[in-house]
Amino acid sequence: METIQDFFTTDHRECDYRLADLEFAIADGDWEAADAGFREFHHDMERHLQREETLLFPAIESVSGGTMGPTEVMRREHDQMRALMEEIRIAKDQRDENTTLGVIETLMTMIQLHNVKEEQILYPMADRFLQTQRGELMAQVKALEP
Amino acid sequence: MINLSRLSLDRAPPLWVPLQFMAVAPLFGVLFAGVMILLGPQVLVSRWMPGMIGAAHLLVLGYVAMVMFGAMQQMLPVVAGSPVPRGAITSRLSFMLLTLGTPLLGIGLALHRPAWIAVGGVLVLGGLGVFTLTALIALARSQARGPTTQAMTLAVIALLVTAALGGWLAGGHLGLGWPLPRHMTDLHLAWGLLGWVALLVAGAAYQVVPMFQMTPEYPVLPARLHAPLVFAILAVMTLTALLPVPAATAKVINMTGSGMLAALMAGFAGITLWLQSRRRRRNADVTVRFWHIGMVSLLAAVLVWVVIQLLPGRGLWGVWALVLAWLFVAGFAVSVINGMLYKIVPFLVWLHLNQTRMGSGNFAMRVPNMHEVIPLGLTRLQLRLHLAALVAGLTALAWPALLIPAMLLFAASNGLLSWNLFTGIRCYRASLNAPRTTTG
Repeated sequence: METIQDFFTTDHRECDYRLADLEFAIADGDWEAADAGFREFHHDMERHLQREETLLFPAIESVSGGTMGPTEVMRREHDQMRALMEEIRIAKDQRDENTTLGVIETLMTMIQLHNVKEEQILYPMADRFLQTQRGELMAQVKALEP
Repeated sequence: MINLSRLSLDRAPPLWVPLQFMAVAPLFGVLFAGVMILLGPQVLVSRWMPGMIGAAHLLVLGYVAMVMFGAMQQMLPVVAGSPVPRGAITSRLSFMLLTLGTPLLGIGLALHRPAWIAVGGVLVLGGLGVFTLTALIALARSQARGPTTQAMTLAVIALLVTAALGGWLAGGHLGLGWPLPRHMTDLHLAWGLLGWVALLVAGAAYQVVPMFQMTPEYPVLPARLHAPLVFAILAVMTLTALLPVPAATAKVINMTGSGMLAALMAGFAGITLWLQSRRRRRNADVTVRFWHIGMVSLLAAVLVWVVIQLLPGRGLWGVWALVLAWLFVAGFAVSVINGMLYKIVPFLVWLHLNQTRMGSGNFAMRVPNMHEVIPLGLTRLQLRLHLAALVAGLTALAWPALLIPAMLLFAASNGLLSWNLFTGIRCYRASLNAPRTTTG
């Protein structure tokens, strides 16, 4: 069966690639591609964040007893990412190449460091402790659309 | 219930903890260049020149180890989920000991000052001891068991072996009651450069190369086996030197071992370059370019090592040994570290400013993005200076008269790196102290 680790890690990479493509479009000066690229990135990213916040994290919290701890930190970082995505949207709409690229670099770094913590520590732990309910949880995760 | 109390995903150390190491390190690069200029071209005769031994310590302890200590304080909570214990005190302690001890030891070795070597050596050993102990505690507590934490653990143990061999050598040098174990010098170098430096770079690379450049992951088996193999080969070669092994057998072991080490280094560089050629992020920033220079230098170093093996008399003598050392230390280690500093410092400045904004609720506070923390134009200029210094350094090994211009370039490169990092720190302070606008 597909593990939580495998599914969410692949989901991370797909979001990463969308952001890399957006960055390339902007550096290339192709603002139409950037508009489309941002829409795709934003959609995939928001879907990933909601998959965690509404399904995976509550499942982890139900076995670890409480919303404080690692999932709380992850939720806080999600909010910081959303703020950076908003900054990208504004700078992109103003066709401000330097600011857009600078904020993309910042978001990319923030996402990567966040992903390491999830992929190295949180997901393996979730796979260990959520084994019995994993099938049902993953079905819900895959069905979620923002 | 799962116990999550030990799992801390947000215990990043205060900004000054990694930055104290990182901001001071390039100044040791400048000091190294200055000492080389004062020693003059005759120091390039051989690796056994006292001046060369002293200057080399300024660079590997003052620059390379310094940044790596700071980077590990920052990386351990992220990649291992386990911060360095009592980070504020222990990092300050290892920083002070290393900052005071390194110039004393380096200049003492260069100028034959036994008292300086003794005091500097004890301070450096203390700094390395505090760092290795705390890093090993953090790694032992970690629940992460990937190739990164594995390589980091072996790298830190290799640093411990390097320090022990260094202490043994220094003691012999000072006449503390045992003869100078000169045959241990190559092992001291091998543990320090191939064990500590190369394994830590590899461990970091497994994380940061795919992460920041969006390349495919490192192939699983090489990433899993690289560090344990390097470590095991170094251990076998060391035991061969310590135990009464027949000379013929020892020769075979050493030749096979060093050949395998060279192949492992080349393999790591080759895989990294191959991954980078397949990166999804097509815009090559300065960090990518520094990594390229680093990996090409590592491959070149292996090539030079092969050339040395083919030379009559075989052995790490004369100018070829210095070419090898320059390619490995300045070309590989310094380039990779320099590139990483341009990712780490701007991000940390952003991260801490953003946390201040979130914590204070002053959402009108402006937080600069990473490209605004250090101007990109100056980082690109520094990249070019570094590359020029690297090439000039190699040229100077062929024509020693060029030593001074080469070292001036190296000093300029590191001076500008230091300036750029302090620009980042100034940006942090300016943003913190900017007049507060009231939020609506």
